[in-house]
Amino acid sequence: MTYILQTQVGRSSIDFHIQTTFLYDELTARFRSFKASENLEAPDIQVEVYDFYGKPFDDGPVEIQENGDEYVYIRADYKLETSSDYSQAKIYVHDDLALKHALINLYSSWLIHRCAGLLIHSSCVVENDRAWMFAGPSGAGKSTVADLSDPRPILSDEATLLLFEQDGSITIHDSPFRSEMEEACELPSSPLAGIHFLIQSQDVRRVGIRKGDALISLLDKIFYWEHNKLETAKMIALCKQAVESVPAYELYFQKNDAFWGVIS
Amino acid sequence: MTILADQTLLKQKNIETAELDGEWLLLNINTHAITKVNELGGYIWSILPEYPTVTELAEKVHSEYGVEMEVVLNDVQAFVEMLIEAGLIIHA
Repeated sequence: MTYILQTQVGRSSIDFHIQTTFLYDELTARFRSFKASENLEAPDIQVEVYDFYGKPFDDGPVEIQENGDEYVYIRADYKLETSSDYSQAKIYVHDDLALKHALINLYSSWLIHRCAGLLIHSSCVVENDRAWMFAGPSGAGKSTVADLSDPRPILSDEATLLLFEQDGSITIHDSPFRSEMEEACELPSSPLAGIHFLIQSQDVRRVGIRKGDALISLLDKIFYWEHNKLETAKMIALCKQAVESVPAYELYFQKNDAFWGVIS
Repeated sequence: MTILADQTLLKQKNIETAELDGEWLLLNINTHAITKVNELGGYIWSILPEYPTVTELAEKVHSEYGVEMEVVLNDVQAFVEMLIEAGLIIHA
């Protein structure tokens, strides 16, 4: 391997062994919130990354195979081979999109396996030292909300990194898995205040929803590819823990920043 | 479908439950279906392993809630049929 990159995401350390300059540049640029690890202990996750795999993403599914003690995730543009505890992995990618997706896949699985947290398809913005999450289906306005929230700190615009603390509280950490707003957040983390499910509308209002409905809405926003029933059960339990901890709302919003008036 | 009052009922495997705000969500990991039931439905679901027939369930609900036995029996029968239709329980 040509390059080594020691990094930190949330509370976990990740060591990359990287085959090519292109991939090294992608990792150091895209995941610039990573910092050089200062401890000498073994990393939580060790990843080898290889280039020249497959073809461009073709909207096809991720196929998952179980081979003895490892899982293999295959998509047209990447292959991810991981140990069953997700701490040792090899990733073969076609391009930068494939690299990001494969890493989201691996890291999300690692978080759920350890009941440490979740990666959620959403944006997250800090207002008065508290993090507000904005989730919704594709096109609902997650990244628009982040864009309209300037100059507030943006912890995520695509994949929110949610971690459970030992005291049961929830912290949102600066996400390296971004789509457009690539600038790293000036804050490393912020406590979660609440979850909004976005609905585009002519008026601006916020409606509290029951926790059962929040759980149903949250389940399909998790970056999770079903491959093992125990892991699926863990994912459901973590979602339940999240909606029990903070309030959830439907946020009806127009494409302007008036929605902050009904939040804070 | 009519369930005989004394047929033994079993919870389907791989059903996760979540009780939130007095509502119960029954999540079938095999089919990804989610069934929402009220507090009484959740109570019946929770005692089903100990009282695995319609008759036993109805007697328990009758003694806990004091509702007329005939009414309880009809309601429990309808609820159990719904759970079977939703793939959440099976006959032993």
